[in-house]
Amino acid sequence: MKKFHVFLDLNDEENWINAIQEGGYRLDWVNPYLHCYTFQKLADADQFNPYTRLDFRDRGMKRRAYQDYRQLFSDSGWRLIAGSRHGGIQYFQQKTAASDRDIFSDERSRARSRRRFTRLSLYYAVFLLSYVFFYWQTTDDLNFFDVKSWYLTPGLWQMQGEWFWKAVIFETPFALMRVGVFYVFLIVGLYNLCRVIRNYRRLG
Amino acid sequence: MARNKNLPLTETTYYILLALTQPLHGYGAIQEIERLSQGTVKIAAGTMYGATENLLKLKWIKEVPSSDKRRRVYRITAAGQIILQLETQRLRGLGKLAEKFGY
Repeated sequence: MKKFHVFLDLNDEENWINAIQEGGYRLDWVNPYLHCYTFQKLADADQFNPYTRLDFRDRGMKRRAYQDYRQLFSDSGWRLIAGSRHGGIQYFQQKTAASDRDIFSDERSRARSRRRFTRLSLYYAVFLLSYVFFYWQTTDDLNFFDVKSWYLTPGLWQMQGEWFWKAVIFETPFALMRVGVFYVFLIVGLYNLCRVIRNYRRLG
Repeated sequence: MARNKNLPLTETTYYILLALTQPLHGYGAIQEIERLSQGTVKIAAGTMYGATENLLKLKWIKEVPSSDKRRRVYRITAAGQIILQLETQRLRGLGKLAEKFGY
């Protein structure tokens, strides 16, 4: 079963995953770019409903450091199901019903992990949105909100019939490339800004 | 007398420093702390990893070479021992004070 869901908060995401797992599923894989979660239905013989817990790394780790990180969780009964040594959310799932119920044993360490997430979202929001702002301010011949200005062919909008459509279809990929970065940065920047607003109390 | 600004330590930090008076990897320290505390303190993996990261930054513990390729092994440093000593004095002082009140 595949589900798409966008979250602004790690605790919401964790609760959502565990609520689905309680209904007889096990999270198998997460695609962090598409926000796609793959769940597997539990077999009858396999009655164990695991907990999945989220940690967050705000910077890349050397291969050996990441190996050590995963090994510590593995020794404590947690399997890494999705996550990268280059940072981001790390999804850990209980290996057996006897594993610890949580990857944090005090509130302080959980808060630190959540703070790393909020802080990195803030850096992304500031970087992406400033880029968008300066790009917008310094580009004269292109109006991002006027689709016609994305096309550079002279006289394109005066063309008629078949020629018009051929020219438009030909140039559309180039036009999208011209404004693509602007829109991707704008959307991802606003998404990160929403994450900061949702979590700003944790920045402290 | 001005107190070291890092005091008091959390219970987790105190136990980790005590456990790392011998060289141990992360999970080894979790098990040792569970044993030392008669099963009352069980540190979870994420908490342990964050705590060792923090203690390495403070230079209270350091990584030591070991034959285990998959796990990093740590040990307390001289700076860590001084902190452990200061914190123990503080706790002992509190204990003595409480005794005077009949506890």
